[in-house]
Formats: sequence, C-alpha cells, structure tokens
Amino acid sequence: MSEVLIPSTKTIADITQEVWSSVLEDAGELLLEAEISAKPTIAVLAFIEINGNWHGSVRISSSVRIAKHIAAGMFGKSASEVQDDELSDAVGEFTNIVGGNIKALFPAPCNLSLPGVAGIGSFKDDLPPGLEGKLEESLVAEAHLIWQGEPLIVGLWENKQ
Amino acid sequence: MKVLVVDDSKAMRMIVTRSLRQIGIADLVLEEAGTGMEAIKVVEGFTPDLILADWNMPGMTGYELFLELKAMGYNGQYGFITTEASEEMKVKAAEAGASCFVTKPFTPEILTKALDGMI
Repeated sequence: MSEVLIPSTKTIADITQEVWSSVLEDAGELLLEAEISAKPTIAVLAFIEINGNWHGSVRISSSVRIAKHIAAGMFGKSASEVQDDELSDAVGEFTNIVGGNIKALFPAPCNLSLPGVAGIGSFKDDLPPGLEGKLEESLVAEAHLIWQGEPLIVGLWENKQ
Repeated sequence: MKVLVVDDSKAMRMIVTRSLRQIGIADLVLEEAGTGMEAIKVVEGFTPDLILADWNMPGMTGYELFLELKAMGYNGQYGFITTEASEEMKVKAAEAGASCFVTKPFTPEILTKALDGMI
C-alpha cells in the first residue's frame, strides 16, 4: 500500500471553519491561531474513528463556552438555554461532520464510526473517560482555532498498530 | 409536501428541518425520527412524500432503512444527508433508487439544488 498523505493543519482548519460556518446560525468568526503557547485546559472532548486504508481518530476539544456556542448555533437557541444532552448531541454531530470531511481525504475504502463525546468536565493532562483505549494513537496534525479568545483544537491521531 | 427527517442527532434534525423551511417548500409538513425503527413506525402512519435520512446511524443505517422501507412497499422519494460522501456509497445509494445524496455540511442552496424536481 502506498504511503497515505496526512491532511495538513491548514486543511483541517479549513474544514472545521467551513463546518462551523455552515451548521451554526450566527457562527461568528473562527480564526486559525498559529501557536497556543500553553496547552489550555479543555472541558469538552469529542472524537470519531476512521478505519480502512488509514486508521486513527479525529478529536475535537474545546472550552464549555465554545461547546455551548456550537450547540446553541445548531439548535437555534441561546447558549444559556442549552441542556447537557443537547451539548453532547451537537458537539458529537459537529465532530461527525468534521471527521467525515477529513475521512474523505484518505484513500477509500475508509469507514467512519459513530461519534463519541468522551468528556464533559475539566481535564488537562489525563485522557478523559472513553479514550482510555486510544493510548496507542499518536498525534499527526493539529489545528488550533480560537473563537472569542477561547480554543477549539482539532487533532488527527494515527493508530499504526 | 410531507417530509420525514431521520437522523440520530437531534441537532442535525433541527438543521435539516430549518433548511427545509428556509427553502420554502409548499404545504410542508414535517416529521422526525431518531432511529431507523422509529422511522418505520412514523412511515406507517405518516406516508411521507420524501424521506431524508442520515447514512451512519446506530442500529439500522439509513441505507438499511431504505431497503427495509422499499420491501414494505414505500414508493416515495428517498434521499441521504450524510457525512459519508464516498463514491462507493453514492453509487450504492443511486443503485438502490435514492433520489438525492447531500453531503454535510450543506447550505439551503445546496439542499434546494439536490431536491430539484422533487419539491
């Protein structure tokens, strides 16, 4: 099998920006940030697996405020009205769409899993519940985006085993 | 026009129904289902003119739902709104008789174009 080309950070950022603009009402601007000097504390993490001619996962982590903005934009309500189940549903679907568009860049056949929301809570260094089995994956590309000063990080993790 | 939207994500059902309202379909009546099994129950009483379903859903996929509904005698329009945009899936959907295949994310304009001739 020929070597698979990994999507660039810019491509991942572009896809995320397109999904953000398309599915959120009143999305506001999401900017690509070149560097995040210190790894921020992330409160919501969702992931989706890609399996086929490439194996790995797309993981999207963000602050609760961004996650609520995503849910509010998808449900067409204000962030203060967003319930926990709606937040999980919306962030999972957002990840599904971003992951699906990233999956399309890999050579077929590749399958997409259902999305999972691994953690809603505050964690910084430890993997949240739901990602314990993914220790063997390594980060191959990561887009750092910011919205109103808060981070949204889209990571592409490869499983070479 | 009676339209059934099937997606396991409530947020995505909301986006699809919002888009359908935005594109101004005449006499639009909407129903939603979160699973394939739920969709089958809705179809029995609702008889939609068009079903728009996600492909990748837990339990029964949108493709399996389509085959099941056809076996039950459903003969309305059926389309996919999905992140699964591979050529293989598009061909599979077309061969099964799907009327349209829309890739997420989409805009109301893209949806209008995809539904051309059906609405």
